[in-house]
Amino acid sequence: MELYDLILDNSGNWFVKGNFLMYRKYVNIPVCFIEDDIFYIFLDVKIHNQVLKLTKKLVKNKVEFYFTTPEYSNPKIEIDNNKVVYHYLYSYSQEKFFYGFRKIGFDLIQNFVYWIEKEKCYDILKENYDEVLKKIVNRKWYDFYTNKDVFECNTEIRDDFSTLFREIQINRIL
Amino acid sequence: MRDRAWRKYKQDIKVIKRLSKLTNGYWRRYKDVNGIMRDEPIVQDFIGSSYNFMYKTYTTSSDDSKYKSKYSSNKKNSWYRDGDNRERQKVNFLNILKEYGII
Repeated sequence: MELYDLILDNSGNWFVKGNFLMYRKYVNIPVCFIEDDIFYIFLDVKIHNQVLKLTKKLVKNKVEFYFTTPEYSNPKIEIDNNKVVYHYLYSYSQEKFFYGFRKIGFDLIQNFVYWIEKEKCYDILKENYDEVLKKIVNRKWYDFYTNKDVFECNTEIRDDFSTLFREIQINRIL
Repeated sequence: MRDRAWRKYKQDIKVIKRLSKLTNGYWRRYKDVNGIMRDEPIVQDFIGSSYNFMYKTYTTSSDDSKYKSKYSSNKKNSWYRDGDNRERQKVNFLNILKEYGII
């Protein structure tokens, strides 16, 4: 399977440029690339619908694939697993991906665990998890009119995140 | 023909123009929608942000487009329609038919 096979429709928005599969939304945004016969999709909220559709297609074709941060579309930047772990967790806390992956029936956390096992970077997970939990998921501000704390993430995502670390550990054992 | 695809194309041009104008004078660091800090933001970094959605509107402060109706007024009753529109043409056509005694 090649990048040309992943073009989803006949509109002129999808095309292959160099090593990347691109999608045009105002400007050309990289979506996917292949490295060592493994597909890597950029978890980009800007084009979340296209990412979800592409994931669905790859699952249907039973191809090995993982996700990565859109920062690595720039060849200048060296790949750091710390950033990828952070971005996996950050994307999971975003509503568009949280509900989007649930809708297509794809388990992002399982894919994340497979990637951790492949790269053998379980030791950096805990610190990134704590950072995302503190800075993104539990971010809140005080509303003086209602005298309540208002959270930026909704209750469902916060509840899911509170048990996420345990879920990852269980997935790893299984 | 000025159909939906044409309107989308024109809107995209407008949004890109506005976003590139924003990036030219943008000297601060910018955190994009993916939570990545960009030192020198370009148009691509602003896609999906509040700026992007704000710039999607056709409404401007200039006189020529200030009072333009953004959406089709055929969907609901509106108080004002700009230009030579379909309803006005229909009335004129019926008047002409009456004048010639056809109806």
